[in-house]
Amino acid sequence: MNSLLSIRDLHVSFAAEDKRFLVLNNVSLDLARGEIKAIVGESGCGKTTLANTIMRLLPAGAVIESGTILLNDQDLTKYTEKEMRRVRAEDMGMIFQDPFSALDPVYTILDQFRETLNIRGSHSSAEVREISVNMLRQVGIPEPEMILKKYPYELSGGLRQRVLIAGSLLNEPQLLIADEPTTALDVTVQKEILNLLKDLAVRRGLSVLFITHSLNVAAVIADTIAVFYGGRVVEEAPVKDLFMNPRHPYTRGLLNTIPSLSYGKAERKLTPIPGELFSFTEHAGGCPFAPRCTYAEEECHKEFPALKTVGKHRYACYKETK
Amino acid sequence: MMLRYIFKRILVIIPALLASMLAIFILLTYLPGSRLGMLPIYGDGDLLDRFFLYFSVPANTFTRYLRYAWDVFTKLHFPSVFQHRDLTGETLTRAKFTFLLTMLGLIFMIVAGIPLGVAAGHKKGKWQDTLISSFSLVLSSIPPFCLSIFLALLFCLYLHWLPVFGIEEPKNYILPTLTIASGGLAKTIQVVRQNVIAEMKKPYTKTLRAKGVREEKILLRHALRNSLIPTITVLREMSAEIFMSTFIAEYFFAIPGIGYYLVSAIIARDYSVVFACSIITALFILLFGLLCDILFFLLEPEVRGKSLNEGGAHE
Amino acid sequence: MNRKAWRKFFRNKVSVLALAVFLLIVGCCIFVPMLGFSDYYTLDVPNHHAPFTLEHPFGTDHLGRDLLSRMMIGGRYTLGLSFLATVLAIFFGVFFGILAGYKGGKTDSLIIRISEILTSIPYLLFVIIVEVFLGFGKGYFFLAVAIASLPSVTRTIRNAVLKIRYSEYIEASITMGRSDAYILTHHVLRSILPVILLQITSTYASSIMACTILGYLDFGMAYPVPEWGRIVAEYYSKIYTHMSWCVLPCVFIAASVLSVHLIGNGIRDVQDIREETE
Repeated sequence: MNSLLSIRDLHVSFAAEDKRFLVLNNVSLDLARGEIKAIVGESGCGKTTLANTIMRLLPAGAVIESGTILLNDQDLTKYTEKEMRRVRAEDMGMIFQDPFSALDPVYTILDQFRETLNIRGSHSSAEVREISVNMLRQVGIPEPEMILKKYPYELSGGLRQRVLIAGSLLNEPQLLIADEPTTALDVTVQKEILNLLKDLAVRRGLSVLFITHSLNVAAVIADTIAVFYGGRVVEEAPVKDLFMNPRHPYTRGLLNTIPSLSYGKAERKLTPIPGELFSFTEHAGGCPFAPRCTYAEEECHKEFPALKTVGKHRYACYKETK
Repeated sequence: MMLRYIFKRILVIIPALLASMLAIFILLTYLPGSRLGMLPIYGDGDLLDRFFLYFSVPANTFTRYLRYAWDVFTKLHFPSVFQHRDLTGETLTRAKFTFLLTMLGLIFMIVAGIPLGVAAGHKKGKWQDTLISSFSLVLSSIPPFCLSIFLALLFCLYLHWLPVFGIEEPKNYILPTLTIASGGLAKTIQVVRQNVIAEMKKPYTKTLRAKGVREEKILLRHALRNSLIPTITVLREMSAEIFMSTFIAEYFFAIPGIGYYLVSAIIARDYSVVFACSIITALFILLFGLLCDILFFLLEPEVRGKSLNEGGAHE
Repeated sequence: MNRKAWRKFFRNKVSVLALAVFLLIVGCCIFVPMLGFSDYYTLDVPNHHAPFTLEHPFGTDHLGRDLLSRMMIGGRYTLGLSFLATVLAIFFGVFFGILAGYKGGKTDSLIIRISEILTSIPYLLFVIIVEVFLGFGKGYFFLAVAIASLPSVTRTIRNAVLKIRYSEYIEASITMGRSDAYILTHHVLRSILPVILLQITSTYASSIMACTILGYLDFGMAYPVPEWGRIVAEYYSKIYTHMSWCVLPCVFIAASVLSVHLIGNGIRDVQDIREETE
């Protein structure tokens, strides 16, 4: 099999109000080497939980109920905490939404890089410096020597995010999980970071799982997009396919909320998705989107439809909407 | 750059010390009966003249204060009315004891407080945490004199391990040190615990975990290191309380320090001694503040950066 | 604190227990002396060193004075005077703290400088000043305690005000042309109310400590009026033979300070929960 990461039938539950709620329900995903897959969904749909589950950085109270997470055909769910730590150090990297608080404020960038590098074995100071400078160059920082001496508070948001990306790549991981890495940045900086990630994926053969709430951002960076709703994958397709031919009503709803600048289409009205945000505590069963869906029928409220596969396009809906 | 920072802080301290002296001076000279009504009975020669200059000559308070302050700094003397002699030597000898005791107390509260606080924060909600937190809460509720009574009862009366009074042997200092450290120790434990817990929830610890850094390393190298900054701030705010417990310890264990001297002088209404002791105490407290500022400077890169770029000291 | 917060407070067993202990101590101090045991000052020399009896539940001292009465009356003075000190310190501390935090600039740095100087002067000095002017042994030392706790209250309140001073809703209120008085009462005071509440408990705890310390050092009430600190000092010489005389007031002091601390912790926990859910 060609995929680097392969998630099968993953169920993750949280405890709240003395009950357990499935926040990831029967999630299956494949990520090929060098592929960038965007996970798109509104806040609270389980996309960050997915990232945390893969990294095994789940908050207290969250439990992997069943399913497998295969990385290089090794099942991560069977790993002990110690083995997971090694996997995190060697095979996976992660970057976060808020670059302002993701670095320890009291150490210089060099100190923090040294610590990261020394996880895999000790390096001499000269080696540390050399690797760090190289890595900072790769993420497009023009004066790496200067940056290494600085403390996080001295850097701008964009620079910090670059430094964080460099830090997560220091130990040459195969998989990078990016949890909304551009949300807290200015729009112009966003674009640069997206291009950087894309570039890194191509040059280093890095697989990226890119989590975002914005279809726009996903369209810019991703090869394929998986749409999440209520802890389930409701649709997954290559970018073009998804935009041209959305099959799930939720994806269509999302697409309708994107403003368009091109003429002709400007007439199109922006329609928000009706209804309230999904809440795990109130969900009764069936398709999670059914309460907000205009096409919903009785069966939708009863049982979640199985994923149908048409070529590279997967979707879960009884009605194939046109 | 560090020397520049210290120099700047000392420049801030000098006016603060002068202002404290002025406040003490004004408060004491305007006390009924303190204007040396008894001076003619006790006075002798040079000292008497100077006292007239400080207290009785019909000049305004500020002029008299300036004379006094000038003499304190240039001649380093603290004249006494009752004992009609210069108290400088005696005050300084006593100040040494106070300094030594407070230092011992500070070292103990830090050496014991930080590990206990980290342990409690690390084991939040478990029995270790409950034990350490309750210990620090109870400790913070016992006034220093009660604690010294309990300690004296336990170690001197029942166990016969340690002497109650005196300054001859090193082991004489154990109980006073514990007494002095108690309040600060309790506070250190609480602050370190609370901050370690808060730091361990911050996003950068997640970055570290995602990089595969060991949990203990995150705790000690990062969370603890970040918690030291608020801990120092809190200790700085406690300075008056810490010195007060030094005074109590001196008074209780009969150690001839500034505090013992001050308390007996207040009872005897010997205002010159009260004067000298108050000023030494004010100096100690300000120096303690300076020490904290230096530590703050060393630990907090942002302060370092600001003091370089803008030339302003932190508030 | 709203009703929901109070309900949460009362669901916490530790805070309820602490509140109960504190009220018990206060209640005893107020009511026990009314029950008709002998006065705290009546000498009953033939009956000296009496053990615990019904007539003298805590026994009598070397002069035959009833110890229960002495300790309860002492509690009245200690707890009452430190409460007065707390009220004063909170009132002025909140005033100056808000002034410094809200006005900022020169007012702020002046207040901070003065409070730094106040911190550096040992409060024993304030005691003699207060007593010389207002009279010895009449209990005015609570003023000195109030002055001693003033700087820390001021600083805490100032920092709390600074935290919200430049927040958007206050800026918005200023833009809308609201008067300072309106902003202070509707926004600033309301949002720092939890901080003030916590300051009351912590200042009260430290005031009880300070009052007993002053009593112990004999700067408290004039002889023979008892006060917890001075009772300890008075009976310390008898500790080998009659330990309870000395230890009991210590226990009372520690119990009241501890219960006040715990009540404060309970309030803080309730507020933490509120902050998390908001």
